[in-house]
Amino acid sequence: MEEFYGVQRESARETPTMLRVIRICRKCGAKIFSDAPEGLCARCMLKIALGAFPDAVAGVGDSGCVEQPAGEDRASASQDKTTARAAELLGELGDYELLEEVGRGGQGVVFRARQKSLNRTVALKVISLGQWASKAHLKRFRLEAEAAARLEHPGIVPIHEVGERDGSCYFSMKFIEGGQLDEIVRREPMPIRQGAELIAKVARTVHYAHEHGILHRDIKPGNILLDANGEPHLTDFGLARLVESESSVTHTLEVLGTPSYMAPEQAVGNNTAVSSATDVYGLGAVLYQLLTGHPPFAGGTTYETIKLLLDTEPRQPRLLNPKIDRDLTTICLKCLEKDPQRRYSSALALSEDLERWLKHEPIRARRTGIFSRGRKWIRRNPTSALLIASLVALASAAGWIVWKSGFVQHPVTTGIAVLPFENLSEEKEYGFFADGVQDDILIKLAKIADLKVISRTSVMQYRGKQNVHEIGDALRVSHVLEGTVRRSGGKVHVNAQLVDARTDTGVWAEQYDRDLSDVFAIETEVAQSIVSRLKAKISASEKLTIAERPTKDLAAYDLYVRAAALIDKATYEEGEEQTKNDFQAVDLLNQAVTRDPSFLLAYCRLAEAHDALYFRGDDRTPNRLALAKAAIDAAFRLKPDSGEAHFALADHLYHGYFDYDRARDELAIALRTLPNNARIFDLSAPIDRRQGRWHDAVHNHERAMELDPRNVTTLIAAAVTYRSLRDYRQALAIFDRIIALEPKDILYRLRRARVEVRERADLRPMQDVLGKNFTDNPALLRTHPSDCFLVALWARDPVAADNVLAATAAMTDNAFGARGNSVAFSHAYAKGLVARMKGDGDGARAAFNAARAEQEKVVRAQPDDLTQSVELCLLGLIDAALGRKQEALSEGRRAVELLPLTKNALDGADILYFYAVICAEVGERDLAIEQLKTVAKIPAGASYGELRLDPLWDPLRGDPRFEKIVASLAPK
Amino acid sequence: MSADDKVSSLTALVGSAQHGAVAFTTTHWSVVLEAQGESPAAHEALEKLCRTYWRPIYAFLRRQGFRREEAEDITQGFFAQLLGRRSLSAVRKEKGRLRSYLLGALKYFLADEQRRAMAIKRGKGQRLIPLEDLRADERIEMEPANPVTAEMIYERRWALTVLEHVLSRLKDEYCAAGNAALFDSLKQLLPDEPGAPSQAETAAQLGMTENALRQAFYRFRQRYQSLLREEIAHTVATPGDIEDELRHLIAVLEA
Repeated sequence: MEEFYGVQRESARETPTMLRVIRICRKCGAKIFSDAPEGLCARCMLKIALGAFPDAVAGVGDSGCVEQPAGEDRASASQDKTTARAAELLGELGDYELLEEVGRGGQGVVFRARQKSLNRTVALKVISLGQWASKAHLKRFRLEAEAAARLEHPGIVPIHEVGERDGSCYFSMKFIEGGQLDEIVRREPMPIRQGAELIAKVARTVHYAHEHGILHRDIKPGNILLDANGEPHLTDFGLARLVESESSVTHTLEVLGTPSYMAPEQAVGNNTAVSSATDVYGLGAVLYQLLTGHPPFAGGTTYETIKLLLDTEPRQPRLLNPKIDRDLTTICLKCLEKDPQRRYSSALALSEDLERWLKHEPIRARRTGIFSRGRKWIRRNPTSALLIASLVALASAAGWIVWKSGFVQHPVTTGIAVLPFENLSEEKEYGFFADGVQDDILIKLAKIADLKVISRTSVMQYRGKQNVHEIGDALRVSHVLEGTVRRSGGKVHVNAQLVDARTDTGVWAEQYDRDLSDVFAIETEVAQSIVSRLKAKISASEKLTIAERPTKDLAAYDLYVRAAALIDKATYEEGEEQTKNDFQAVDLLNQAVTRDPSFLLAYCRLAEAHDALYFRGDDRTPNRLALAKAAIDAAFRLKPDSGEAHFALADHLYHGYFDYDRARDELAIALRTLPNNARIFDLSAPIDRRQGRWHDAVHNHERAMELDPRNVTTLIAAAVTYRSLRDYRQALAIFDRIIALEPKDILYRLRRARVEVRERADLRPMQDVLGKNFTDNPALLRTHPSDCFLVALWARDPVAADNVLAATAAMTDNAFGARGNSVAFSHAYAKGLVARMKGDGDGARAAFNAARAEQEKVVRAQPDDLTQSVELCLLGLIDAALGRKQEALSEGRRAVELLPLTKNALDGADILYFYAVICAEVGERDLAIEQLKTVAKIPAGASYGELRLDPLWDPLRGDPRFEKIVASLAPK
Repeated sequence: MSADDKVSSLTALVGSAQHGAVAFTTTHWSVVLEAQGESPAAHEALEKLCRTYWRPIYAFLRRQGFRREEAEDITQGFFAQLLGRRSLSAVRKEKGRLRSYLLGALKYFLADEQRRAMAIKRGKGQRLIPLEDLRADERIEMEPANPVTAEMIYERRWALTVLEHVLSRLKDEYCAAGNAALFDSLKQLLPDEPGAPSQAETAAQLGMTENALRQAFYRFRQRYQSLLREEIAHTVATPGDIEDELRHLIAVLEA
């Protein structure tokens, strides 16, 4: 290859090791070497340019690459300012001497200046209009600025004078010694209370302006100055008007700078919709920034940011900063509602709610964010897509590059997935060993709170897959660790590579060739290298835990890893295979702890295996529980604060004793050291749900899904919760994900279709899945009897219903889950319902009597409150059908007593639902309506579809009160 | 006061706001990313970038322990491969910076090279030779001689390269206008170092009034900042990154 870019020529004279120091810089003290450009101090030369660029976007930074300037930078920066101050004039503008440029924004430049006639220091903002200046614009700007100049408030930077010269506008205002809010919080984040106090003050200021007819229109951290006492001062009122245009095509992006804090109605250029609510949005956006350190929406480019802010909801603040409590989140998100009408009615209302929060009083805003996302606003503005298109066209004309953005979600900036390592050993059976190495590294990384580490379940599906970029996208992680393991004799060879999935570029690679006994050291080194590559913050204790080795005994480790593989296999298999694997695992683990009694992880897994055997019914004896407990106790003896041990205990309490309160406590402790353990969130969510803490449940589901995005069990649990909350859009979206993972299993399609039934009272999706002649399909009738029965009954198709009954007659269980939660109909009862539908009174009575006889026995046999309540419910329904009013009502009441909502929010809702049905069946209309009012409101309560379609509600149809409730649940 | 004491037009002071923004469309790295390396324009842009920024790569390799000829070879090979690739399809736009991208690509390139070298040594049906078995002088010295790692050298060289490039452009502009002496004098004033000649002294030296010098210096400084901004913009993906990149470059010069 010929001489390439002068490499040969240049390098010949360069000798990198022979740099001489020619002198020391008198300004910053740095050594100036012989390679210094023009003999000047490079550091000082670069520092000159700090803060001088118009496109610096407040709050948006490259999380991977930002290096915080060293502390002394602050000192030398102000030193720069001082020397400049002492230096000479830049120029003059009428009555003003320009002393120093202090800021540059999209609209113009701000100078520190001296007003000669009054001999005072002011800030002078000069607006550069260039091609956008028209007479009309200038006139409007003057009017606005003069109106703003009339405002007198301690929180508003007073404007002294407004002028125009040579086609440029300027205005002079009080010079605030301090800084812009965005600069200040960039250096160090603000404590939460302080942020709330600040916004409360600014909100009051904004309200004052509103009362005088002035809107700000451009509230952002850059327009909030803090003085020496930390008091906020708002500046740049109404300047956004400057480049407003009459048409619906939006203003040029360039001049407005960052849209991260812009309200949706402004972003689409809907100037008539801009109101005081727009300023409320801006306040909320700044609050969001102060609380979480990020603006609510930040894409890589202006175009992306606008797309995000129009189409997506801001990330839950608590995901970014767990210290934010729910009330403050509610306040913040209320400001950020897409629909201006849903925000605070005034800036004053916002400040008052913040003040209530500060005083620990209850706030006024209601938590609506999760229940009904602001999609309605978007639907009412379908032209937003068109406007974005024209925005794009205009932006190109103005000179920005428009990225062809393929994704609408937030760009992935963080997270790592440790993929299964390839086994290169000659002995194929060492596959489990390769898996063990991968698992250990994953576990180590997962202990670091600053990292997001994907759970094993989700990554195992990528065994053998190559396309790192797709994997990164699917799992929403920025990095992927791949590797190979080759074990032979007493040696092990590990090859590990860290890849940036977004760019598909290698970031780090290493090879290890060691003795087998050194495998733990290898795992530690890999983990440590990754931590440093990803620049993850790591605490001292986390550092220690990474370096821990699970055991000293290699043979014990082998046994452990084999057992782990079996346990994992067991979760995917069914029946006998499952049991066999678990028993085998127990055996291996017992051997492992015999060899090494200090093998903590083995004890934890042992407990897990025992509990699985108990819970699945393979060995539902107290002895099995005791074995689990013994293993847990051993783990605690070895390490009392072990996260794994606490988790094992939580699992044990949950599955063994249904002791949710204690399980929850243990989970909280485990979470401290196992921040990436998806199972903790998996267990926490149903506990929260059961105990009526629905929002916490959602939070836990989201966390679990984030960490384990391809785990079907996790996804189903989340879908159920969203369905219960009547957030059908989310539930359906999650089901779509499940179906994508398990396309062949019709169960999930059916579940999805059931959600649509609830949402829209439309049976067709279910009928589509089941097929037209599902009643002729015996396999379907056997595997999905509940769904078949439901469709037949609600479609009021007696023939189909009869077919279902006939096909299921031989099944001994109560085959018909009524709502998918807990209460189920017996075959006999179902028979009665069908007979009633056909108008066969005698047949119905006979069936109900048979059902009653059977159900009485069942009720008596139930061991605990939950199951008793469920069966009593059914008994009540049967008695209602038989016209035994008093018995039915008392059975229903007793069922509710045994399982109130306060005890179990999910199943309790079921009971309450059927109690309402019982009341309706026996003719107690008023009572039924009263119950139904509650049931229609609570999570997991009645849905639109159920009320419209279920024949059990027939007694109430036509009653205006019933119809009103039904209408209230109808889809909007 | 004479006419030239007053700033004749505010646009001189304020104008670069627009200039800077328009310049971003044609920054090299953004063109590369936008086209994902698939267009002639992108290829050209990448070439321009490589022409300027090969030095930090070379410095990195030297610090890694490669001898001069080896380092040259690898540098050549690396850029040849980079430019030879039909598409940089793997390069995504978000948060991408040329500086980090190049170093990452280089390391990957090195790792590949190693693997390739080792693969050659693997005979048919034989096992991979572990690293220890390679001859000592075939192995790459990974431990640097002193605590300054190769990465730090790379970063430092990068910062200096940026500065060199900017100053050289600025110098060219002034020389072309016949103002070489002015450039030499004004450049001393830029860092504002105590002990440098004052504006009054410099003005006297050049035979200008103080006010005229003041204005000239202001324009000089503005132009410098503008060129610096442009140069950094050439290596980052979005305008928002420029300030951050600048801070990073300053930070690496602390050491």
